[in-house]
Amino acid sequence: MNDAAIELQDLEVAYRVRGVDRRVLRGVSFAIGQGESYGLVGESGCGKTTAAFAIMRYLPRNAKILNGSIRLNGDDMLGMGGGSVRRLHATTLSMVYQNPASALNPSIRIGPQLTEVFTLMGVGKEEALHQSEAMLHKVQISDPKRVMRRYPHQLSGGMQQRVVIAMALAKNPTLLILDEPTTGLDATVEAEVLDLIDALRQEFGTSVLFISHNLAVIAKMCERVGVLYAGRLVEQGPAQEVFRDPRHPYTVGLLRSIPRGGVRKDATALDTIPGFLPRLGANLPGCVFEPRCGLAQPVCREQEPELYPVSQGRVSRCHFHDKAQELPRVAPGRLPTAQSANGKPLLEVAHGSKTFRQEGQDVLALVDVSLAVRPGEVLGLVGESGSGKTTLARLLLGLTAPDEGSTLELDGEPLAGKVEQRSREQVRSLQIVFQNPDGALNRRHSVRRIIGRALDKLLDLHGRERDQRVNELAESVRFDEALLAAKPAQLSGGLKQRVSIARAFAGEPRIVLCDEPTSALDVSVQAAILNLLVELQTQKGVSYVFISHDLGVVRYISDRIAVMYLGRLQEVGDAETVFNGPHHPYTEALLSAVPTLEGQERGRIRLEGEIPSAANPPSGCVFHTRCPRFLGEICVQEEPPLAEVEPGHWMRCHIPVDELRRLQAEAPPAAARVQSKTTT
Amino acid sequence: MARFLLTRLGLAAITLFLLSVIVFFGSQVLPGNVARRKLGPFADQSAVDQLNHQLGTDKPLYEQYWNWVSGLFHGDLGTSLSYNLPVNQLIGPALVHSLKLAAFAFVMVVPLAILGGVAAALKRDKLTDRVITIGGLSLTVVPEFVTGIILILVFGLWLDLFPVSANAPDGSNILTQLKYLFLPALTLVIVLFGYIARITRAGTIESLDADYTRTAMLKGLPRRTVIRRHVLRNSLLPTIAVIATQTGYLIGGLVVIETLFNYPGMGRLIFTAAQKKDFPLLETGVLIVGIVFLVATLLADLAYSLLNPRIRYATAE
Amino acid sequence: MTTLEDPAAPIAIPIRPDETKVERHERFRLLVRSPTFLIGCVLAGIWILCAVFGYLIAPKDPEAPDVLNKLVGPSAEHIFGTDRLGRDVLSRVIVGARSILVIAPLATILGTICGTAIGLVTGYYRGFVDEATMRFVDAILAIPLIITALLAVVALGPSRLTLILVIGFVFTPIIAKTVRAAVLGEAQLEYVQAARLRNEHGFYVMFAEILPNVTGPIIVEFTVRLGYAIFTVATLSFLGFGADPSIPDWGQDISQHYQFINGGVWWAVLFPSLAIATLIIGINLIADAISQVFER
Repeated sequence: MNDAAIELQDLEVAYRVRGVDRRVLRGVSFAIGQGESYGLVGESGCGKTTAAFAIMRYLPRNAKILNGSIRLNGDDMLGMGGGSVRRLHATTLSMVYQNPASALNPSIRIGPQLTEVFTLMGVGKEEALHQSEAMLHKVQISDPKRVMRRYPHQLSGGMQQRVVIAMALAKNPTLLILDEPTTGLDATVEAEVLDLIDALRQEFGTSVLFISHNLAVIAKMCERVGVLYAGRLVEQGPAQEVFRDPRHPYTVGLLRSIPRGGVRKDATALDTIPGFLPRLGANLPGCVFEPRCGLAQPVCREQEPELYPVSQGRVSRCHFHDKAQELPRVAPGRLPTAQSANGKPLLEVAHGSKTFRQEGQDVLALVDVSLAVRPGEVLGLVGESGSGKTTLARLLLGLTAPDEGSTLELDGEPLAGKVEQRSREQVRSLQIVFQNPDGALNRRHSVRRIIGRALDKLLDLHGRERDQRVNELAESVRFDEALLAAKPAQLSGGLKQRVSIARAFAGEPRIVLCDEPTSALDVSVQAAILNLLVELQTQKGVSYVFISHDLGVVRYISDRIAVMYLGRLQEVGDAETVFNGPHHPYTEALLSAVPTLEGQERGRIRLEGEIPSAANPPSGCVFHTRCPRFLGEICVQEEPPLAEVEPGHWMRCHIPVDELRRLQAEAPPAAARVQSKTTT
Repeated sequence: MARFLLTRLGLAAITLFLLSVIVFFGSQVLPGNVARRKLGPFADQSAVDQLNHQLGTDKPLYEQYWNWVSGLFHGDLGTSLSYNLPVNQLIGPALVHSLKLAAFAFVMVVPLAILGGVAAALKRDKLTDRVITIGGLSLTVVPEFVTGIILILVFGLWLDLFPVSANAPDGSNILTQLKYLFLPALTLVIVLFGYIARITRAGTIESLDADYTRTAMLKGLPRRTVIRRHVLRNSLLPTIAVIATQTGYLIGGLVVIETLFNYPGMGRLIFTAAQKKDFPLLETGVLIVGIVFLVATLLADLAYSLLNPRIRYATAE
Repeated sequence: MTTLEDPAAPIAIPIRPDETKVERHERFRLLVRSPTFLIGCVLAGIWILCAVFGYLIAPKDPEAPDVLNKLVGPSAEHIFGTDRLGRDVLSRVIVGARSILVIAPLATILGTICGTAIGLVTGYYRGFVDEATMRFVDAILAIPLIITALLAVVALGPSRLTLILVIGFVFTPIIAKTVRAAVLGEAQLEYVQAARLRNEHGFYVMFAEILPNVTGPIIVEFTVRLGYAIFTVATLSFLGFGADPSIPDWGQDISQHYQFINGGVWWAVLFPSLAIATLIIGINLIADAISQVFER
């Protein structure tokens, strides 16, 4: 391929760790055409980022390129000296990575940081200023002059990432590498940034290497995709085709483990990929996926498969690529699920508010939230950062004491605001599974001690009796008893989360709060954990309050859903009601912001601007500053009540529900605040 | 911003108050009966009581403390027991002497140590780095009197390059004065070099490893420009603030160095007071040292905050 | 029980080697390989041997005066010469290690224990007690360490116990600050909240949950402080506030012979000075190597 912007051939990279070279890339080859956008997907540790930095010729000091070549516009990059590489950075290669806050120099104003890209190319000072302003305009920053006088910390995350993108595109590069550019941004902001990247790519004709763990984002952004597993490219082809008709068992497994297309727990269980990622630099003579593959034959262990052509422009590194779709399921097709009992609420919070004092300002983290959790139900809690969902969880648990006037009730009995003032019975009833299993488990304690201590304190179990219960709990979360003596650091993320779940269930709780329990995990592990949570809930008849920013996950597991924005409940209702509509305008925007694997474009609603600060919330309806269905003065003046618009469906909006239903059935609003784009 | 300033000033005031309480207890309460100490174990009890009454040391503690503090505010620092002179007459010149010595040492050590620290950071884990950090560390940790003695032996006696006493003859010109001050100042330089270089190195490495430095490198800027414009700007500011807080360290060293070189500064004054159990002089001297330290820290802190945009413009838009 | 197939079942090696053990092993290997650490061990080791076996090793009686051989320069008979009372300097240097190597470690241990306790309580409970303690700590730290020690020794009268208590007391706030910072970081982690969610007592959380996770910074701080303790003991005894005039002591010997150096009597001052320098450098090289290993 001579017209390729970038071409990798058999690239092998190793990191030297503790005196041993560990291979992270095992002969990776791919090419990106001029103006093409190519996606690289894979789970953590598969080598995506290493590939990116290899192309940038900016690998860490302990990394070594063992073999292979990288050609940029046909020129060999690996043979280049430092000066030539620097010139490439200045003219043809750009990279944007995760966490824009740290990518910008905190002590230099935006202006000089941006203009130096132009002056480096020999542009005069005045001209550089002009071009910088123009560039900021291109990334849809409406007031470039003002932004250029700002320091990075004075801008929001979304704005920062725009500035970084502007810096990257300023030199009009041949190749732009985007490494998880929107990970960590809120859904509505992410949607905007992705749209922006897409538009600019077409305008500039830049080739793009887009790296992400999120398959849906890749599906939306890329023409072609390469799937990376354990440092090997296992499958490659046009993005839509690969995701619709995968031809490598790994891709098949990955796609089956994602909750998508409105799938729910009572319909189909998610499938999982058994086993674990091979260790960094493990010696794998045969197919890298063989140890986890349900289709593996003896030949797979011995012989590394080549990249078999599957169809026009598609390859798969599997001896049995024609049968990949027949990969046997690991999880059962259906999980037994409990019907949530309608009855007396188990846990009730009324007028729950929480104000934090921060730098002399009152931050209203939670405002007048009234919500009930019923026995045996899964209540999903959805919202972006600053919505107050984690504060609500901490408040229910008694880790954060609520403001005066808030009341908590468990079984109709008042519940103290601080966990230290609750009876043991009450403490037992409410437990949590934390987001980050690394922080949630004491790294100096063994698993047996971690679970055992909970039994000791909550159930007064000691000695043999306790050990017996620890074993039972381990079994119920499918945690190998032989590993009970291990310390958390010896376990993979999924196993750690199982320990966390076992601990949460140790005291026979009645409500378990799950605070983003799978968001630190890879997709295939996430599916196993979700299945486990569903199974345990059915068996033990507990209720969950399930917090997640991933709408697919929430939809999969929840019976009811509460949507939060700026510390307030905006909508509460049955899961399907909330998802199918009529929705609150915020819910509507949130749903439309999330890219889906199916690639079908919903009515595209893009929220402009950033989420306002909870220290200084807008007047009236707090969503009015960004609302796509903004009515007028009333929204600015008056906060609508959370009203029951249909049986069991509550909403905080001035627009009557029938009007919403009508509006949402139509094409998306074409007002100035909304960008509409017809699907092509 | 104003809020920030007020908070800092308020905290400093509280610390200052506690400092005075600690010093007061350390020098007036812990040693026990003041008059008995002064008159000796065989003195008549009635004489002891009388002296205590005269000195006011038979009054309740809070009253004694109040008298002492209000005296300080009126510029009445008490009378030295050993010199029989008002304390302020002793402390004034001593402070000037010490400041002279400290300033001379600072002027030499700060540029040297910052250069050394940055060089070590840029050559991380290479020989240059090891020599600067390990060498600097070894010099820093050796007590001042040991360093001073070795310098005196080598430069003063064997090579006969510099005078052993720090006191220039009266009326000498500035150059001669500096020559006399050189060995004590060099002792301070040696002690401080490793410390400052180490802080500079740590700050610079942190900045070199930061994402924004990677961004600057990947912009294609020459390495020199990246270091000058992006790295040092972020690493030197905190370093300078930390250096300013090292005055306490410096003053501690002065006690020994001034004694060793027989130089009439604050350090030697405090030492003499301690030796002679001259408590009025001792407590005031210690308090003044503490105040100098607190003020220096406060100023450094404020300067750092004023220069740091993240505090200067605390709120995002 | 309807079960899922165990997703972990078909795989043989879900467990990684015990990372904490590997880490410990790894740290030890790195330490032993570090030249800084080895040199430090040799330097400190020599003086520890002298402290333990000093009177057995010393070629002469370190305390026997010899009026006929006062201030004699180095010779075959007295390799390091003799002091103002005609005592053998080499023997006094060898034996002098004991005094400092008893006081400094005990003082450091005392400071570390108190500092750790205060750091744990203030870092875990925060609030008013924390604020007040930290102000107090700041006030103490405003006075140079050596002056605080001087003040306290003068007030209490010099003795071995006073030195240990005083240095231990002066180190307490410094160590407390380090430990507090580490505890603040740990207290943010969810395992501490998990402990609250099973009605765990504060003491258990501090000592059984948090303390094992902050041992790294405490060990580093301990070794660094040990160097400073030796520094402080030596300086105080040089200034004449040492433990006991009758026990051979480097700092004291230096201060007693300092007046003679203008007369060319360098040996009685130089050798004890070098002894102090090598011991302190040794300890600090060890401290440096340990902190490098812990902080990587």
